[in-house]
Amino acid sequence: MGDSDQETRTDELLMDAFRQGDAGAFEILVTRHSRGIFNYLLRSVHNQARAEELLQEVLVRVIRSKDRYQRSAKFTTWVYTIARNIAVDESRRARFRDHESLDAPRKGRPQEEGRTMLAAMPAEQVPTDEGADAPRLRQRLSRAIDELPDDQREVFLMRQVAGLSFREIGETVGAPENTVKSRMRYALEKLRNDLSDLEQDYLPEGGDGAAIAMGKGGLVHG
Amino acid sequence: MADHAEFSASELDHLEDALEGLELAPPGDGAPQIRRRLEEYRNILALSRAAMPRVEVPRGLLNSVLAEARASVESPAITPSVAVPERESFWAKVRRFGLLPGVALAGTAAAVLFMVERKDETAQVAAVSHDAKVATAAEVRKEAAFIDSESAPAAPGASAPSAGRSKDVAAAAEPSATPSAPGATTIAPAPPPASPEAERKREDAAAEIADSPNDDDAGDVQTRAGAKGDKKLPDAETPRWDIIARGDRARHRSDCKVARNEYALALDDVDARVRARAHAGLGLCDAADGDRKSADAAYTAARELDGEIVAFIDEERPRAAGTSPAKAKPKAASKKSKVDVPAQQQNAMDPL
Repeated sequence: MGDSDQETRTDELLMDAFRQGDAGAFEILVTRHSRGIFNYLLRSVHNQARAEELLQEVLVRVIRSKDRYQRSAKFTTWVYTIARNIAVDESRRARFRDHESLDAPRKGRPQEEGRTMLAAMPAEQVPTDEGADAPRLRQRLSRAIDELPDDQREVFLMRQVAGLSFREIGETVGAPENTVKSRMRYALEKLRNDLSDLEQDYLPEGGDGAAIAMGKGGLVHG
Repeated sequence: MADHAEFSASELDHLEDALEGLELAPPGDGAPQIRRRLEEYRNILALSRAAMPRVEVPRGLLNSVLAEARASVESPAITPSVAVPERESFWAKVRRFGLLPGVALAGTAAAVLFMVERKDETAQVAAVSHDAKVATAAEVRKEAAFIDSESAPAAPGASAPSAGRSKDVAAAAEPSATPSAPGATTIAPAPPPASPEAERKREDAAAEIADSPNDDDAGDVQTRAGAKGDKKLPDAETPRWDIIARGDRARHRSDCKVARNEYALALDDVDARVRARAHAGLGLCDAADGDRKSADAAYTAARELDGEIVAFIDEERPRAAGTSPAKAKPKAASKKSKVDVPAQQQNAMDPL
């Protein structure tokens, strides 16, 4: 079977071929989905190294669970369900980890009392370029997304980062499609309210070229 | 929420339905308010894409994963496959869930019953043994009291030895009794400590007592068992005063047949005093049976062996004759004396 045929086969057929012993089929699946899964994990755990480990874990679970995969289920739904479970476990573990936030007020040294760790770091060590407006807006948006409720945030990330349809998201999170759409709308409403104070015009770098103006009333397509 | 107040339910549905392809095409129809809100959503989505650029998977990150995938294909045995379990039959389930616990339960019940039964048997043996001991001790005490009551008025000077002898008789009958002091009396000293073998024989005899339906004979059986054990394992170097004591007890019960057997065993004893006591006992039995000639010969043999035996013979002779006026009065008061002493013995004459 040639590469062109492999590329046109659906995920489910490829998974079936992998179960029959075709390791190349699995490589195609990895090529198709690893980027989306990785970005979803990266936006969920906010740590690239950890996201890389989790991506490996997801794919290893796919390999080891290939005999349990049922062809009636959509591969995308199945693999993102695994990724979501791993991300949820990771976030639960992270909540119990005893680590101090960079935004938390520092204690101990008199000269640093009350300052955050972020403010105490030298400028060149700050992993963000706070000086530019666009990155600042990007930071605000990222923070606003992080502050979304869990069910809304995972829908938003699956939609925006992984590119899943609302039906696929519903199957992955185990909720009806309309519920998923409602969660998406709630997420958009919350982001709109959080960013409503921005008055500066901004043209997104990765957008479709259309100018997006941000006025007092919110984000306005220019 | 605020949007609930801004939009009706149908408008909210319209908003949500429009989300599916919002980024692909700008909102075309609908109320201006809805179109404006959808436009804002579209801007946020575009901005979020810009804020979260897609990151590429590092090269070589998944090499190990792909290697594992190849390995799992090449050696399927390594991959833990989920084998569909065979449907278990009803009887197999019954065997698995019922048979084994049932057997275990039955075994436990049998073990408990066995232990309870053993416990009951042990208790019965202990009770019978206790009864036998009590009966033997009571009998010996009664006998000792009888001896004391007989000998005290007849021979006041010999009351102390007589009392000592009665104590020795009781001590000989009760294994747990403390042995009498050496030299207190030579008539019936406490039995020497038995050898372990003899002890084992006595325990066996005790078990026979436990099996015996007649508890009244327990003491005699125990005594006979002790005699049997001693007969089988005579200690050649130890004076067998215990045989003499058994013979005396039998003689005091007017059972001269048993008494003769016991005395006969002691005729070959290493100790001359024991042999003298055996001859004296035989003579007393002969006197009780009215055979004065034999009694005289036995007394003579006893005296030759031990000159001090005369005192004992003098002490015991009235009992053998049963006609002593000194003890006729107390015996008349006792029903036992009438029953125990045969009429023919009452007329027996003293050979000495």
